[in-house]
Amino acid sequence: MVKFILRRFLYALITLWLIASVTFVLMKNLPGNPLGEGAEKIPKATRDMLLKQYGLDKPLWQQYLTFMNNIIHGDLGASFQFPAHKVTDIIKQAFPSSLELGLISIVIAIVVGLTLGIIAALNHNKAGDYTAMFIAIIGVSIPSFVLGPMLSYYVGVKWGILPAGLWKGPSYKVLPAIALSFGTIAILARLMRTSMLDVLNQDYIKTAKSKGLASFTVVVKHTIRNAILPVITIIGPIFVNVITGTLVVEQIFSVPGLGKHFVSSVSSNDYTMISGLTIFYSSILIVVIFITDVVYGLVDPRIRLGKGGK
Amino acid sequence: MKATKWVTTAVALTLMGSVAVGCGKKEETTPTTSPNGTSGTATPAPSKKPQEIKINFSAEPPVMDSSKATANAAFTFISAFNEGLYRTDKDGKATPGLAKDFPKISADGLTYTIEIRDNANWSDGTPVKAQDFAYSFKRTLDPATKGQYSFVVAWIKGGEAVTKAKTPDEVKKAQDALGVKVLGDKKLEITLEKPVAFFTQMLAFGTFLPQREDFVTKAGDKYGAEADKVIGAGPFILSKWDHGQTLELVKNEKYWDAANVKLTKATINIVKDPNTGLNLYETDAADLAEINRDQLKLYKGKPDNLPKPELTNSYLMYQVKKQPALANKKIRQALGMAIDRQAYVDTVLANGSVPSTGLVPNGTSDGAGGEFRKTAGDTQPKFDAAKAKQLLADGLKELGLSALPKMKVNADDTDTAKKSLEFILAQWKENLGYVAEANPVPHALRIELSSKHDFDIALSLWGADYNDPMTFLDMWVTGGEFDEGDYSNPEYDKLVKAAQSETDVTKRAKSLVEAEKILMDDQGVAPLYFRTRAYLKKPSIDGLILPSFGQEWELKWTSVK
Repeated sequence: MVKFILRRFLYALITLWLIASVTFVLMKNLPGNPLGEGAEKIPKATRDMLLKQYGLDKPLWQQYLTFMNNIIHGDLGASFQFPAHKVTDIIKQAFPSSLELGLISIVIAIVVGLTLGIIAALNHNKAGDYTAMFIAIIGVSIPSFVLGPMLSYYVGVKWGILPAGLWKGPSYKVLPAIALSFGTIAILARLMRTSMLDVLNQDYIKTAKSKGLASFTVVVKHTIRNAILPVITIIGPIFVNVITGTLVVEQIFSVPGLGKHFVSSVSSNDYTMISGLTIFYSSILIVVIFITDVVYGLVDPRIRLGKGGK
Repeated sequence: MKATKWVTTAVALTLMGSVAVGCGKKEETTPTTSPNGTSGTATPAPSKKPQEIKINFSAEPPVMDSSKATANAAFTFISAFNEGLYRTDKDGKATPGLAKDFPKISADGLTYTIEIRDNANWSDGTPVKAQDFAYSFKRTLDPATKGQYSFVVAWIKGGEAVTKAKTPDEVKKAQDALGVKVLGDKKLEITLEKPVAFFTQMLAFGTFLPQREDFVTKAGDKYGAEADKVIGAGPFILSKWDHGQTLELVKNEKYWDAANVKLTKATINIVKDPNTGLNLYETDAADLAEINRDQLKLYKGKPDNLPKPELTNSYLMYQVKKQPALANKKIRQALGMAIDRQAYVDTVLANGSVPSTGLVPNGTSDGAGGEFRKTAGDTQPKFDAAKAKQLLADGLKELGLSALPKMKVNADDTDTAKKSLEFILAQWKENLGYVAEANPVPHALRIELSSKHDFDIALSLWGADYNDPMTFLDMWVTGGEFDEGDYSNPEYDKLVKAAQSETDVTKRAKSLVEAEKILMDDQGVAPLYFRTRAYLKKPSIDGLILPSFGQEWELKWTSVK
């Protein structure tokens, strides 16, 4: 087991190094320089001086070595866009909002999505199934950039039930969380339904029923437990996507999250921010994939016996 | 089967429970009481209403350090919590701020002697001293500060030497030789490299604001990064800065003119999406919001509608070296004259922007007490499709060409810029029979291509840094830093250079008017429109100023009716 974890850790480091290197090459190929909004007005002499101070006049390989050296020492550098802030500070400031929004929305998505999936499977080809799948299809078809403004306008402005935007207290978090969870609800509902139907047709379910087990036990202990495996696999990556911020929902509801930084750092050539966010995002993804594997193993003991599981 | 129903009911209940939890109780509203009270206010507010406003703001200020700031977003806040020797009033003119009066200017226009108000204090009660200005200017010029706007402070004698100094010793030496003298705690003398007719106005600009050495040193790298890492001597105090979310300004009772500051609190929410901004405005969660062209239609003729005319122009720039055909005056004239600017602003922009009538936007001072556009009149050739066609034919004949070569028109890849390209190209096709190629690219790439002079035609915008025609006209001097199209006319150069050293403001204004006439006759650049942005303001808000350059809004004279 220790060997397995160490090997996985090494793989994770190599993956991170590859991602950081590819990001470095790609961001250096972006047009323009990182001097920000006023850059077009800076006289050439000043511009050259600034680029020199940032070390951007050096050959690319030297810049790469400095970049890797800083990362190894845990220094993601100061943002070019926000010169008085370190990239780590910006992540620390923005990530909690994204995380909170993501967690709320994933809880909603899991509860609602799995419920719909289970209802649909247990009422296969009946009204319950059609209704649940209709909701799921709508969830997949309506993107958050449509649903978000609709919720903000109707629920926020027209009906005045909840705030139309901003991020100030519990009630402000409901609409963005719903907007963000809608797509995930649909994915989880459909996946859970398919998986449940698959399990319900298995021989061991029939055996369980013929042994006289109560239907409740059959459904909860045998069907849901086995049907949920593929769902757990997909929840990991979805979770990372959701908690690391979403530009669309955060922008629509003015949530001070990380989403906007992903886009603005690229459009403003904020090199340190681009690399910092990429490394942050990759690290979370790698950790979550690892945790998913472990959880998967816990739910299904057969997996623990697989390759490298000793 | 029975159990199946049971499970279904259970999960349905869970679902309902989760929705109920999500809804929760209705959110508590922001407390309406002023955090710092108003007991110290010299004059009571005229209205009984709480003197508090809420504003939508589209950008997070990058840094609130006047040495490093370049964005309007930063200057807006810096000017709210700090003040320069002068402050720009509602007419865009400099009025004494921390300075007692207007400067005493030497006959050669080079030396400015300024006295600071006796009651000018920092928000912690410490008196503002001449040393605070000297320190600020020197810090901005120091290359180690990495101030991008240091070039404007470099107009002070010896300023450029500081920016070019290589070692800390060289910096110190150059700073000591800088043309800024402290003649006592409340008296400052600034000597310029050459006369700058609008320098008094410049002293109101964000880069020239004072800084406290002890405070800056203590804050270190974090200076200007958090609410408790800024200090000012302005009408407000930055009391809260939740990054990406909310900023709060509260009245500064130690401000020298606190008696005339009615507002006790302004809450500024970062709202990037215009639709959300409008939703917040409609639900009274905002009193001021910027809107887009489609939203403007809903508010046409309503008292909420508040246009913000800016000292910003949009223009086409021609690269005459890369495309020799563009070096021909008649061809440039033809291209410029073939665009119906009124139709352009009506159909493409529809936000209150007006067609250009010259290079320098409406509202720009002429530097001699008047408005440049009124002094100069319309200098830009009017839209005339037939004449444009004739000019194109004549120009091509002069060059011995049968048709214009295929050219690309660079522009940003934003929605508005793409629509602009579409309109301009359609006008050329319709009025000149010329088909050009649209080349929308990301903003950073357009800027890079332009700075390398690598384009045929480029659609660009330029906003004033100060209220003087020079900010638009010195760009096109031969070999100038921003003459990216390589336009050149010795007569034009002579007039602009004469204006740069002229101390008689009337003569100076005349030179600049003449220069613009030459540029417009040559069509060295083809202006398209003077930009206006659309805002909504609750009618109960009074005295809020939307300055035409440098900052988004000015709250010093704002009150709630």
